[in-house]
Amino acid sequence: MTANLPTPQDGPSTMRKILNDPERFVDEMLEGVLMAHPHKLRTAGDARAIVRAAAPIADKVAIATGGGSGHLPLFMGYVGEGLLDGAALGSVFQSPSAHQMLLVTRAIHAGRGVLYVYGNYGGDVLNFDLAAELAADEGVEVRTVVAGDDVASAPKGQETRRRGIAGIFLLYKIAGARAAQGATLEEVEGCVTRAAAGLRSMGVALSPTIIPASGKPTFELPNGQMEIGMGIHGEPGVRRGPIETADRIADELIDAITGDLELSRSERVAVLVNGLGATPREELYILYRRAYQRLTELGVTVMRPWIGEFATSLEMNGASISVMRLDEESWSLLQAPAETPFYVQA
Amino acid sequence: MTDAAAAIGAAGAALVAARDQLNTLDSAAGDGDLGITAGAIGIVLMELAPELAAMAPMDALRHAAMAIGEQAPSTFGTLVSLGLVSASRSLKDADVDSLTPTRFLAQAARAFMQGIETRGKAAPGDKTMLDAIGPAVETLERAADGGADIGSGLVDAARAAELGTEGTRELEARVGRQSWLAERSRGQLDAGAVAVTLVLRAAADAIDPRGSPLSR
Repeated sequence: MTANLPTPQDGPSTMRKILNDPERFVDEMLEGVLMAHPHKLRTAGDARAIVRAAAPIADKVAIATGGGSGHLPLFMGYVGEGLLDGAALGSVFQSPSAHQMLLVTRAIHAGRGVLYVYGNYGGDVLNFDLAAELAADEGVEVRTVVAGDDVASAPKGQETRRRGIAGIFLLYKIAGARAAQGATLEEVEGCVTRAAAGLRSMGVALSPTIIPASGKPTFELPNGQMEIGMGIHGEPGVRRGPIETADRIADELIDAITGDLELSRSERVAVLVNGLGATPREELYILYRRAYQRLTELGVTVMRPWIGEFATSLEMNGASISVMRLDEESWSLLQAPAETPFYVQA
Repeated sequence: MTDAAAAIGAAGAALVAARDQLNTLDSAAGDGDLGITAGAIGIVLMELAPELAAMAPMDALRHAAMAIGEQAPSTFGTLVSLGLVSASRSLKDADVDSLTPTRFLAQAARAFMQGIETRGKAAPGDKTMLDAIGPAVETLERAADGGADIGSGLVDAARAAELGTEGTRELEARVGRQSWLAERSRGQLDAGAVAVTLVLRAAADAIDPRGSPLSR
């Protein structure tokens, strides 16, 4: 199998990757992460069930997430203090199994229940629902908040069909901070659900991702073209056209988001500008510049931005913007300190 | 009850034996790997048959759900696990000993089906395993109503599943990966429905060999 795939030594543009056997991509990545942070992270009975080294953390609700590999720092990158307790990981862009999520659940549960927070993808929903059912039979109470912030993936009125993208980081932050306060499972779930109701995102892709094991791009996007609303696994977006200026892109994304959120003047928001993996940080700041201006024009106050790579898609070139409506509680929780091997907030 | 162990083991063996057939069927309009899942489920059933038969039914269903969830992590396997969890839960407040074996099986099968319908967001007619399970469940319920013994109940259920499966040939897939290739799926039996039929027929033969159509 492997012998027929383009390797880094062969093709010029299809496999610009630093890896060994593509089939071992995820396993070697995980080994490297655990070698780098042995005192922070450990496995929980399966190489793809990653938990805090000190799990279970006593006296608090445990928070778990899960999803496919290829999106670092999403999902595993947020396992740590003030954020998540564990993450189940699948192959590139594929769901982890119910069993892997169950192993994470057992390892992090400290007697106060477990909250699953993950993105709305069919395989993940099915597998994590099974994990939750099996955990319940073992006496572990599990509740779930599924993130569906991508406004491009389904129209208003069909929000439950929307995919989860980079905005989920803000939900993790809320969940982790509230749980760290010693809140009950019901309180943490309620808090995250309220935050999710006021969170919207949308992105743009300028080039596709190459799956390591196949060597093939996830979709075809001609040079000079961009696709608005593309998903982080290459799911089709809402429109494709010539690449526009950063300001035009920011306006389109912000207007779609604020329209859907029905943001009004003098509301306070958090903004997250996310790079999809191949976009320079400079460009993210150019995008943020216009996003901030546009929101200010609308009379909305940006309380704090998060700018960087929060949910990538391997080497996809592009970015997404997320806006979350804030109240006193969510604003306070977003400011709480957190520290994982991939994310530090003082 | 050695009958149960024999039935579970036979069902498992039937799935393992049908691996290639199911992969081929599935490749017409799907991933081509349903046989792998069915085989994995089959091995679980064969290995755990005596243990499951010796456990209380609610525990056995949960134990099977856990094992299948671990060994068969595909969509089909996960749905089967969720169905078994649903069946297990349905027995929570039931007085199992007061139920005839046929009634017990009919109730468990109904809950199993409801679990899959809910989680899979599908119904009979969508060209899935439900097209075999639906008729089988209705047949088992009628058998229980009529006081039939479990052997003849299973024979009739297997026949109903077979007819339901044959009916999938002309359906176009409406859910799952097959639905993306809906037109291509026409003219082929649904592999999941075939798997269900094989399980019921093997279980029926194990409990009541005289009921096999080969001997009628």
